[in-house]
Amino acid sequence: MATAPRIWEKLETIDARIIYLILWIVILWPFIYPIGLPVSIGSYSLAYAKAIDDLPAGSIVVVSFDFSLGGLGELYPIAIATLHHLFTKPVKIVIIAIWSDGAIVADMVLKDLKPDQPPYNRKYGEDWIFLGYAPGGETAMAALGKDFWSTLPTDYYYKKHVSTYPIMQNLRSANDVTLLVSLETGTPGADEWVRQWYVPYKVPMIVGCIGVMAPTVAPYLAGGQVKGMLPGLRAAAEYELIIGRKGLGVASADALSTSHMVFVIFVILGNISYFMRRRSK
Amino acid sequence: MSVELFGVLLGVFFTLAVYTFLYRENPYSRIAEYVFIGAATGYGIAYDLDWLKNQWVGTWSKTMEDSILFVLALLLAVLWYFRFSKRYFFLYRIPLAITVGTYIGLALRSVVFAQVIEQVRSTAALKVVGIDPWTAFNNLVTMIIVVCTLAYFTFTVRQEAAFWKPVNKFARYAMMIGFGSAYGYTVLTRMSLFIGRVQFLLGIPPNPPEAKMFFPWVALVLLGTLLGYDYYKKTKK
Amino acid sequence: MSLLRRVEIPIAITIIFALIQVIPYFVNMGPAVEATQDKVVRWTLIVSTGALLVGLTSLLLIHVPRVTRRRTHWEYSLLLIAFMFLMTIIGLPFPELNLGLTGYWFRFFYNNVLTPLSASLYAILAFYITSAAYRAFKARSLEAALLLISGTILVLRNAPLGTFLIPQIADLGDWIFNIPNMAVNRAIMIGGGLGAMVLGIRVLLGYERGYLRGGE
Repeated sequence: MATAPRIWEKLETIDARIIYLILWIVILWPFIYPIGLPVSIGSYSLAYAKAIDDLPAGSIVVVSFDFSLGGLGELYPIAIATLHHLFTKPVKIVIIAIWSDGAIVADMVLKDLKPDQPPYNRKYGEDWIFLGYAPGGETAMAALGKDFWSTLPTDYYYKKHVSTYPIMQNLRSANDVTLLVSLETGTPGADEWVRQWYVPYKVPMIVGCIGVMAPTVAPYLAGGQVKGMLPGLRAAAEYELIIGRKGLGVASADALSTSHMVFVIFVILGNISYFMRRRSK
Repeated sequence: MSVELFGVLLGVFFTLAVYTFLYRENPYSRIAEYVFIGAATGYGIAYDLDWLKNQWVGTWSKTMEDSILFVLALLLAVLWYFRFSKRYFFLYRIPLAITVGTYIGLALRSVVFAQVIEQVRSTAALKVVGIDPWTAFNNLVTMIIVVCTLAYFTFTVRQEAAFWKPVNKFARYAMMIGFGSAYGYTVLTRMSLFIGRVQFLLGIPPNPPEAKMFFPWVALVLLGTLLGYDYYKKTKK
Repeated sequence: MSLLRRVEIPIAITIIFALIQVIPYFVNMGPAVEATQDKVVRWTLIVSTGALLVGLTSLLLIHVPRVTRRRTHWEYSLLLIAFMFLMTIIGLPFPELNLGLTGYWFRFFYNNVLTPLSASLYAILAFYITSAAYRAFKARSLEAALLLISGTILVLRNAPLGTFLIPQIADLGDWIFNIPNMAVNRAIMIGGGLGAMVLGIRVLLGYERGYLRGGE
């Protein structure tokens, strides 16, 4: 009988590096031997896709990359899928970044998608434009809401004044924007956009965010200030399935399953060992 | 080896160097940490300088009045430096006051609508009669949780009356269930970010496919040197 | 000079700049005032970019003495300083010299150095959260048990295998997210909003001076 508590004690004080190794294995494994489990689609992902599908032709959509490179794992698939979806619609796309890292990611996504080439064939400066980074967080959002031309006077790639591009002729302030898409990892993010763009200009907004942020966006979703949300990698996979373009999100689904399951097993094991040890005391 | 290929090798090295920290703190993880801080700061400065140049060329150089204002702003921006001077600290307060003032003004004018009025209105607008029972139940639960949680965080009133105890208890339980959601999504984020790095190491498109080639070799070198060094030290003792 | 040292000066500046944003928002004062208000916001952005100087100087103040005095880990500090200046220089806005944000070398370093480092550093938390959950996420009380159960449901809800094995977990997880989570966050948001308002008013009245502290 005396050995039983010792097992639980040992289990409770297991070397953390064993846990790390197990996590490495269970995440690497499904990429080598895929399981291919189905991913069910949630209502928020459907609402996010619908907000883009419902855009009238010629609408101006502002896509803001409000994230740090730390959020790449979750937001890169969302960013790629969102821009792909937008580039297949007859809308005008203006890409900006409120976080400096966001400009890097936007550049990376645009390089991957190549909107100027087939299947998109969208003309730079006419159908889409990348204006780069506006420093200042919420202050920059407010400034952009009032006046795009003065806040981001030149584009990112060619450093030409925005007034020389046809797409910018119809975009002076947030009043001209049909939809705001914020891809975000934190503050400034949804709270600030709602304050600076929804309250004064009533610009409809959808949010692609890292999972951690999702609970804080929930009140805006319920209140109608945010029309749709993609919280994290699981939602990215759902969205990729909705728009019919499988990418990094769907490719991650198996690894999400194995890592989450191992996490649950660890929690259960930790609790069993805790209660067994307490009982033996 | 081409420069591009060397770049991928660097990416694999820095990714794995970070994870060697899981084994123990070591020179590889320290290199990763220090290079990150240096590169990130330099990157931030480069972005700000680029934006400043665009502002000057695109907006502020058009008239004499604007040019003067731009130069004045730059002079005030330099005052941030006096954060490190005991004698001239008061100069640092000037750009700080300008930034804080504008920020507070911008937030103040809309925070009440976005975070208070809109949210109170959304809660008050929830129907509990004339709709299906499940929605009515959910709406009622939402209203009760909002009110109880607000009451829980009301510190300006002494919570001595008997009704506070169940209210606070209910709020605590509701918060714990609610925070479970935050917990679940935090796990999702953490796992997803690591999955993203694994996808890079395995060269899954659009990541560079060459990463897959470097991954096992770099891992072997990093782990081998660390384990080898530890083994050597152990046997030396 | 002694007048400039007085704390009332930055307080007055804060109040003036805050009021420039607040008053024309609620009172229609015409397009000229609105244009000025807009210009002040953009002007403030230029002033605030200097805040990076604080970060840069603070890093130099820590790491330069480490290198010059050959303190422990000075080699790493040298690496930090080198990368800081390298990124700044190759990112200088002079495209004609192949420098700048769209220049080859700036892109090379952010793609191959900054991106893997930043993404990997944040991702390492996956290991710590798992280890911490194993050691500390235990049903020690009723509150902890509620958090544990609700958290586990959400973890299962976010895993495709979880919703595949127990389809009802999706509805249950969504209910937790949409009802208790949303309601709790809404209450916190309202409370935070009221707090931010009070803080703003205190700043406007000159009572809040915490941000000006230091230097003595």
